[in-house]
Amino acid sequence: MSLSAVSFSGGAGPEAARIPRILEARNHVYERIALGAPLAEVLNILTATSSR
Amino acid sequence: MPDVLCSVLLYDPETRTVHHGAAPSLPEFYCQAINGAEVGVGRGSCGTAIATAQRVVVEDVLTHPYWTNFWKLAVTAGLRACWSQPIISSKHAVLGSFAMYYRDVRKPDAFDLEFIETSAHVAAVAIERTHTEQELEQHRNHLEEMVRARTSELEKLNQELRQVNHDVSLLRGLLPICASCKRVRDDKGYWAQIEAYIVKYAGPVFTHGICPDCSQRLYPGLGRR
Repeated sequence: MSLSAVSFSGGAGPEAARIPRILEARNHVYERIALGAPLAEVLNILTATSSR
Repeated sequence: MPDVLCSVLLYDPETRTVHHGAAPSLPEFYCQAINGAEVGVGRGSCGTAIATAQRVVVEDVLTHPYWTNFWKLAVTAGLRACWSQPIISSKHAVLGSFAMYYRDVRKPDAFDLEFIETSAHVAAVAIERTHTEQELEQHRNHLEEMVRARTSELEKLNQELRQVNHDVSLLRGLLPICASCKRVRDDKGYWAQIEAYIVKYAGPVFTHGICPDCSQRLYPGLGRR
């Protein structure tokens, strides 16, 4: 499972403006995973940043 | 109040139940009610997604058959739509589910589907990483236990070897012996029968008999018969 698999196709729709924020949030999650953060913390960040 | 509320449930394949992973935006009572629930087709969006390893989209929990036993709970929590994506490991095992809840009837568009898929993928990376660390920890503990057992065994053998070396050194050194009674003096200064001394430090078992010369001297008539 490669990290590069996570990307968004984007487009010109209204959701497109959200993509940079989502990717930034995802990068933050990956950073926490790489640093060995506890699973509960990682999943909390993932779900919190995915909720809107 | 967020428009979409996300949650992660972790799957235990041994008990076929789900356990709370994360759901910071969902009500506490809802998370508690779901925690420990069995998976299966018709057991909500997540229970079905995990059981089938397929994404489940429920646009309206009030009308969908998968939510027959759970819609009251969802409505009490102010939830109306629930889409659930199974979290699949790199070895194709189901690890849990990533769910998106809405407060109104909602159908996903292409962006939503891509979003939920990538979210489940990120969750899979995080969960697999944790599982790998747990396995490493188990292997490390097992290895340390083996090293401890082996070290203890070697210490015991070393102790026995030291004792043998000590005994051998006593037999190799100068041994004071009485010229008259033939008793010997040990390293602590005690006089002992030579048989007892040798038994103690070298380990043989003596059997007593009489040699031909002594037999001749003690029983002069015995050998002539």
